[in-house]
Amino acid sequence: MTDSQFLLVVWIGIAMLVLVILLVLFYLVERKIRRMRHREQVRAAIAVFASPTSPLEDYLRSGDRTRRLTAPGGGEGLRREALEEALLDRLSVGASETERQRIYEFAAGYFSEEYAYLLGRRRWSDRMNALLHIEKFRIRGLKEPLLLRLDKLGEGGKTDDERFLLVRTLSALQIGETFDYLDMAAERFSELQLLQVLRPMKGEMAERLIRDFERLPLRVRRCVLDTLRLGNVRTTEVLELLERCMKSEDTETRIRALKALANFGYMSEEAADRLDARMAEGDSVIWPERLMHARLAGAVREERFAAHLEAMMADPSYEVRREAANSLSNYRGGIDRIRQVADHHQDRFARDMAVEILERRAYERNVV
Amino acid sequence: MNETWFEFMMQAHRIFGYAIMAYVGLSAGVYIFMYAAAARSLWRDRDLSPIQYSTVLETELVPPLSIVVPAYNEEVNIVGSVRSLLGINYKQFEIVVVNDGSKDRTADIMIEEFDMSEVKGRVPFAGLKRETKPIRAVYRSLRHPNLVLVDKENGGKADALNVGINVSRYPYFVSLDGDTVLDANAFIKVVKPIMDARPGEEIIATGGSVGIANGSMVDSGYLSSDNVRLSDKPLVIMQVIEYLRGFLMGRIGLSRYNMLLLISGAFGVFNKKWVVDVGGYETGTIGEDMELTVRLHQEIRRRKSKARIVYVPEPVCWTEAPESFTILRRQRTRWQRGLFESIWKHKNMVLNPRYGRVGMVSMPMFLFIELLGPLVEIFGYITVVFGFFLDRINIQVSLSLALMMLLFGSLVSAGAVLFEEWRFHNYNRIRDVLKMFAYALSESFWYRPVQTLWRTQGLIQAIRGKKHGWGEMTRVNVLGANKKPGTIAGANPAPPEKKE
Repeated sequence: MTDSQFLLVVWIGIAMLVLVILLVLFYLVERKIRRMRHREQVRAAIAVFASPTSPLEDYLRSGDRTRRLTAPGGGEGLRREALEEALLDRLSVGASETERQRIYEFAAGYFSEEYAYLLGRRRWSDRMNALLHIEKFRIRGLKEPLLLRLDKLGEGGKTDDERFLLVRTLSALQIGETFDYLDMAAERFSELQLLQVLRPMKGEMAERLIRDFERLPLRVRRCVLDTLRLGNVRTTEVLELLERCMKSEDTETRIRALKALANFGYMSEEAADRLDARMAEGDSVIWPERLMHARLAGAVREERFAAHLEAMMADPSYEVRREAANSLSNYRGGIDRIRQVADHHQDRFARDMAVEILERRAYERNVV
Repeated sequence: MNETWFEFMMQAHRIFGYAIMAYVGLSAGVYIFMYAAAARSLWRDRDLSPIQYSTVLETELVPPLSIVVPAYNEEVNIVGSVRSLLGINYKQFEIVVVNDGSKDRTADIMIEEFDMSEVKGRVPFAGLKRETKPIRAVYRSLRHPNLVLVDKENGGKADALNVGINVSRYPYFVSLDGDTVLDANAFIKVVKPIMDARPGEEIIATGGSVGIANGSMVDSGYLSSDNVRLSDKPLVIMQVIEYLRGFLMGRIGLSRYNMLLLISGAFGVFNKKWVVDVGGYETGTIGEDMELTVRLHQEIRRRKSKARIVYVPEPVCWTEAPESFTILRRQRTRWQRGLFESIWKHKNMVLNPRYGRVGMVSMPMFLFIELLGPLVEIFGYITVVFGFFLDRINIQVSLSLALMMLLFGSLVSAGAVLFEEWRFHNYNRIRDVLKMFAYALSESFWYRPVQTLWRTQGLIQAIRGKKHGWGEMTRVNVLGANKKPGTIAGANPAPPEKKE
């Protein structure tokens, strides 16, 4: 290639670069202006909806949908976006239950068609945004499009974010078909994602989790135990399940059951016997399980565990010592026992822990 | 003799010329690849609604975090900083303030202000094998049980972080830099990849984008996107563009292929167990954050683990950028020395197939493009000048090529501005965007040459073994919160030392 030919190529390159830079600039400015204008209009519309005399306020107060609220007209997209934001704002600042129901009802009527359309869009963020809104507005009527979308998703890992959001949305909408996807969820979702799927389940769905517990995949079972704890569910069925899980062969399941039982604050005599026996095993049990034993003993406060707790204050693990001291301080006469430990225990770590707990309790008494 | 010498020069010049052309072609290729990877990811996520975070935040399912805050001579800011941290938008966390042998009343003020009582018993110990400077005492706030103060002897930032890790309770810890201003939802943004990790996949470190706070309005230690403004100072604007490019373009691609070599010290979340296993932060280095990340990669390879180090493009924190050439120069030469140290220490990883992509792609990239790039650039200029004297250069072709490369560089920077607009649109004034674009185009003509010079200086300093002079930790102006001295009795406001 001669110099002049090479030069020509370079200049073509330069011209193309200049063109691309100009295109980027044009696109950037045009997008920015459009977006700013749009946001300004949406903000103005939200302000109108937020005023006390607006048709939205009217509806939320009375439940009567005036034509002014639903009437299509100019700037439909803008109006929809403003309404969407105004309703979300309302939900986030703690609307009353009646208001919530009205918002859900209104959203179901007004946004369903749009969301169903967005769920089929090619653009990933459109689909994700639609899902997030369906979940927020609890639009149960969109069950079919959601299931359809879930079945249409490819197997690859790239679709996992969307798959998770779809299953979480199904669960939040209390749609029974969620259970069909739990096997897949156990394989693909992280533990915290599983919890996000299980946590919103209420009523019949939650009962089914307990009823069909043994048939659920192991990872889901562990998360169900956490869900019961977080949801403070206190029924006989739950108690039976937790006590059954105390005997599980899976360590993780046992630990979570103990944690949930400690939160429950009660256990049957038979389960207490079992706890007693396990606590007597001492260091042969792994420390996270010992920690939960201490916590559970502190929650049920049966005298027979006090001696175990006292012994656990000299545990090799700091966390266990702390938990044991904390639990013992909840017992009648517990503080005196801790004082005894502080003064006379032969283990230095036990003495130190006792001092720490005594100091904290003294401060708490002063503050209260 | 003269003729032979001339022949030799010609030959050498030819070889240099080809080598530099190959280098330029290769690095342009790497940039284009990174550009494409970032564009793909950000295009997919563009305009994603922020309610994705609110849904997660409302749950109690977020993993608990230990926030480690190293502090040295911080009596003016520490209370405000801790207060703003205590009010973060997150369900479960503890704050571990490590007083690194301050000469002022940092520890006393903490103890008075938060009713702290000394923990007499043994405190949690994560089991870090590295020796740390002795701890004088550990205190826990009686008012906020999740606030701990560790008073220790001075050992520098890395040592303070190591002590903080040892004392922390939770499986994940956050390391915060001194002058970091947080985004209101910083924690949830950075923790989300940990929450979303697939079964069998472990996320051992995550970090987000760092923005530049100069010109913005910081409110109680936080900066929300509504309050982001572009500074009027050209030097700061250039750094804004540089940060956007560095984070949005550089790291998305690297993170995607698990080759990320740097979780910024300004704000990062780490899995404590992994960090303890690799021995914590290296003391006495400049780039302790990069050095740790590289060691984590080594450990991943050693264990043949599927663990990942992930970058979140979202802006999670904001930092104050130098506004003068002198300070900026000091900062950049220091960064270059830190880069040199990290690569030199792990030179066995470079082009070593045992370390997979990290060894074969990202380490060489950091070595040849980031570290040696400025040197090659200067060699390039010298080659052109020599070529001119040897009459081997067609001036017209050379200038045209130079123009093309300048435009390419400008396009890359302008692309970063575009990416910001796609995904975050933090800069909401047209004026700001135009300004950024104009400066992006001008970068190659003034900012880049200066950077090249400084980075080369930094490299030379590093090779000559200049020690970074911080037997003591640089002043940490934690979170920029409550900058006003005031209500705290005994606080003696001192003018902030400039962080190098």
